[in-house]
Parts: sequence; structure tokens; C-alpha cells
Amino acid sequence: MITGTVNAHREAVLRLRVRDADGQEHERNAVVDTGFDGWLSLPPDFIAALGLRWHRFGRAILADGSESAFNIFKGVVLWDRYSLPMYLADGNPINVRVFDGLLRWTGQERPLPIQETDGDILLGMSFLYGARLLIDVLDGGSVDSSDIS
Amino acid sequence: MPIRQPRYSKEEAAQRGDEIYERDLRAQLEPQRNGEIVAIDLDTGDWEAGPDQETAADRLEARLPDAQIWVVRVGSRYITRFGAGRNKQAA
Repeated sequence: MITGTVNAHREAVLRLRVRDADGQEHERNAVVDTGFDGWLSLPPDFIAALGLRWHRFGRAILADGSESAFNIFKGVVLWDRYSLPMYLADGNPINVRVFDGLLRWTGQERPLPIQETDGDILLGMSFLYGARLLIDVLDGGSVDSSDIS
Repeated sequence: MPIRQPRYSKEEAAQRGDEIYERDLRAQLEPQRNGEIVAIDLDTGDWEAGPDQETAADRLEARLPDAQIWVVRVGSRYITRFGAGRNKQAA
């Protein structure tokens, strides 16, 4: 089970641990966004710090109906249940790890489009697919995520 | 593994991607293949289709390692959505 809290903005937050090329772990808050149908959205400075490899362009539609083009970075989920190798600019994999229990893929390689957008780190519904979320919607309330088994 | 960098701004990429899609792809893909993802090389107009972004983009990259890739969903203008509002397509 991975856990988090409801923050002062009434967002459900989970903790992400990301390991960069030097093996150093970066811990970040990631906001659960059930209106985001993608996987993971990271801000440009964090993408740069991790050295992710640019891969392509795409376009999103925003909540107000407006559209915005964005960069997509290459990532691959190589599943040992709790780690997400992504590729650095030099082609070497790095691991993005989450607290235990959030992700539930089993051994197969899966693509992970990392979208670049300003603002918070967002976890989308494709990332969370297969998880059960239990949120106490109170200030500081608990956010628990577990596999649907 | 070649290291590619974007050679277009996001806005240029969107404009060129739309131009190529409208000119070359729409008539032959819609509506039969709505929902598939196409990856378009903005330099050459070459493209590949697939069931998801990674598949389409990887197919194109396998042929064109230096491709400047634009991805779009057939029958839609976007590939992802932030915020509720499936039906709030831009006019």
C-alpha cells in the first residue's frame, strides 16, 4: 500500500521517489489527477534534473476546452512491481520508484509517456489503472492506494 | 541510441503536424481508424499508426531514427486530456 495525505489545496497527494543517474533519490509529492487520462506529468526543471530523453510532441486538451502542445519524454516501465526504469539522455536507464503497492504490473515491459507540463507532478489515471484509492477528504486526511487483487 | 533534440517549437510542431495530417492522412484514416494513434515525422511527412503512442512512435523511429515526431489520435485533435470535460472539445 502506498500512502499520502490530502493537502491544504484539497488535493490527494502521493509520494514519488525518483532515482537519478547518480543513484540519488529525489522524493516528490505527486497529485492524483483523475481528470488526467495519461500517465505521469513532470515539470520541465525536474525533467531536466533527471536527464530524461526527449521523444516527441503531442497536444492536450485542457479542462476549459483549450488546447496546448507539449513535449513528451521517453520512458519505459520495466516492471518489477515497484520500479519504473526511464532512459537518460545517454540512453542509460534510471529508476523511478514509488512507494510500495501503487503499481501492479507484473514483469512485462510497458511504455510510460512522460509529459512535460508546468506545475505540479501529476499522476494520471493510466498510471493508476488497477489501483484502489481510498481518500479521507479532510485536511491532512489519508490517501491510501493498493492493488486491486 | 541516437540522442534527438526537438528542432521545432511546440507551436511549430503542432501547426506542421496538423498541416500534414489534414493534407495526407485524414481522408484515408477517418473514420475507419478513429482511435488509433499516428506518429508523423514533421520533416518528411512519413507516418506510422499503432494502437498506442509508444507503438506508433517506435515504428516510425525504427525507420527514421532522427524523426521529429508528432503524435495524434485519429479522429481527434489531441492525445491526452487534463481535467474533466470529455465533451468540451474546442470548436
